Amino acid sequence: MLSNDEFVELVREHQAGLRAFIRSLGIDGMWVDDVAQEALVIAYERRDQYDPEQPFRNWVWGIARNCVLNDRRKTARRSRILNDNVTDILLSTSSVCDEVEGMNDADQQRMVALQECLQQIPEKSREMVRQRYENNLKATDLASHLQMNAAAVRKSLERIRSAIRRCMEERLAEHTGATTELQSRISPPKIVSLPQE
Amino acid sequence: MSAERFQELQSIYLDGDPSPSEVEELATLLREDPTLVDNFRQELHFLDLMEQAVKPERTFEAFVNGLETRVRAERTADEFMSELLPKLKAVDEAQIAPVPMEKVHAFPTWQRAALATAAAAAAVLGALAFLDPTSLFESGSATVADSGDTQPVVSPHTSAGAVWEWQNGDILPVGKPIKIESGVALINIAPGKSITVEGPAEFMLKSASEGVLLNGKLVAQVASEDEAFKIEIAESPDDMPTFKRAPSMVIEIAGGATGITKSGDQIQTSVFSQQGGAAIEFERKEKNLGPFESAVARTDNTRPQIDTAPFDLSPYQAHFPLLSSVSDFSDTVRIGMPGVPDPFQGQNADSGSIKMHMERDWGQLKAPLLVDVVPQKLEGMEQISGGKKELLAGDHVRSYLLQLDTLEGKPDEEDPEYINASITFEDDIVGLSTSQTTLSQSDGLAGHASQKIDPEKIEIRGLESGDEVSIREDGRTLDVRMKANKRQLNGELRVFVRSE
Repeated sequence: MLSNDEFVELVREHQAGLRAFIRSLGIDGMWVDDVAQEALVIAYERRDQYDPEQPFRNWVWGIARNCVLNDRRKTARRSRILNDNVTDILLSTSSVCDEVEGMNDADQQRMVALQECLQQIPEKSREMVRQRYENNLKATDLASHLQMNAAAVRKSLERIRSAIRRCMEERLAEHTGATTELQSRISPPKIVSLPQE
Repeated sequence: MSAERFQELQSIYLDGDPSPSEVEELATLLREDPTLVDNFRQELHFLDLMEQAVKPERTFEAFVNGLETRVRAERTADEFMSELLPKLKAVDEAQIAPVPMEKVHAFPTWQRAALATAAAAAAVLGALAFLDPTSLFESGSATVADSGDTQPVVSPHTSAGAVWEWQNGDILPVGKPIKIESGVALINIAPGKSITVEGPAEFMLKSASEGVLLNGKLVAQVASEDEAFKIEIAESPDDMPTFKRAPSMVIEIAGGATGITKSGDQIQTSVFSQQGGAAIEFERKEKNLGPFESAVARTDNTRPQIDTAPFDLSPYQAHFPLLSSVSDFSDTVRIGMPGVPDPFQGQNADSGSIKMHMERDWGQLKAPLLVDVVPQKLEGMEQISGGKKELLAGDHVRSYLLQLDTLEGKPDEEDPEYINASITFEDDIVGLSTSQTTLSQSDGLAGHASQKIDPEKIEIRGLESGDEVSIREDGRTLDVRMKANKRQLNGELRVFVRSE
């Protein structure tokens, strides 16, 4: 059975990816963490059932997936699912062993890379990211702020995300195998080439 | 189907405000072409990572706090609480040097607040350094050297991404505003004095022992032996109160603290501030409890955000009677400042089937507020639907909660009866919260302290299919037609109106 220390370490290591996995099943962004916490509580309660020969990630992902399935079956008034049909498709085509592009990197490392890359994007892009993802402004609201049309804002956000993903890939490739996790944490940000606005 | 159409729909789903028909169209396309699903899944995955990276409420720390609450709610083994969560939250205590508070009583109220919150500032920074593997303080910034009343001098220290004009070695000017565009600057005023300023902010040094916060947020950290240090807060340009999210606080509960909210809990709070006074509030969740007698809130800053709302942090208490034998209860607790007029005055207008709570009679949103509908245009008896779903930061709003009770004893399936209401508000309606999600989210900001929600009805808040709500062309009159049945015990609707 997992010791408490081991469980803590695994939660720390995988929580970011777990939450993103749940989001990728069509859960409303506001409820993603709720589902993830539910899954982790269940995992803790059932930690004696965990097979250490199997990846912890797959085990917890499976629990989370079942949480979403249960939600889908409910007809409760409170729904954590954005759209039933979309989630049905995402559930039916996913498995806990799926490796989304680049997702085999440690989630923690990915988050570090993401944070670093966010610092590298142009100020205008960073402001757009902040308004969109921190302040939760939708494209239409951003459009009025920026005197652009909503479609152009969405396109810009898409490009920014693509640029950040490329940056992350570069960083993760640099870290692969050569650095310890600690070293990767304390490495100074490297300037990478990102498209200008 | 064109690839362009899929990209457009996906883009609207990710960053826009898709209509139900657009979501259905997206679902159809995904179903017809499984090759699109992987791309869509990756986009969702990455979208979530982005939010985790930039959204304060989705940080690792916030997630763990939520997990802690959940564990308590689920009554999981005590060992989880006692062993695991402290480890998850572990901070290198060696780097934290809280400020002794023995001399705090010598300062005016607002200074005590600043000092008290300062006690945890180091913990914030330490925690962040733990949570964010990149060093929080990686760039140089300022220290104001102090030798008596000599000129403050900048010397190498640290800041959290502070964007300002100062470099190590600069002399910070006295009597001139020091502007911080963004980030957090930790300025050490040696020995034993430091301030943490969060941008955007303007701060002015009057001497090495005295300063004025012109705007923004500041926490002061002062050694217990240094009583001369003083920071003033510039007067607000107007009396308009504000409310916003604030650092989490620790609640201390006396009496039967057997619920989810326990003594020592760190909980998210909101601050309502106004020139001359302030109040705080927090959400209390209880389960299987008897009444507890009182609650005392004190700041215990564990977040990077800091706040200078002028609290009196000497313990002030309010008694919050609870229903006995409640199985589940959620309420908003508010504590006003001693001597400050109650900023939460409200009224209930009870028509028998409809209770209307005037919740907040002023307020400026400091952050966007999610609502279910925002009327785009008001023409005739247009049904309101779709449109933008956020009230913008800076909007001045007033809120009302309508509780539309069932007609007791009526059959629920056949021959349903309807509650019809026309309510005219004093100004334009700017948004409605009609769902469990948005009602719950806005409770903390808008809810009234006296508002009581029957615990048995919590899970069915909001409107249901078949209920109708519309706004007349005057923009102020709301027409409600609610299907009354046994299942719908308590429909709820929060109305935000413009407040100038």
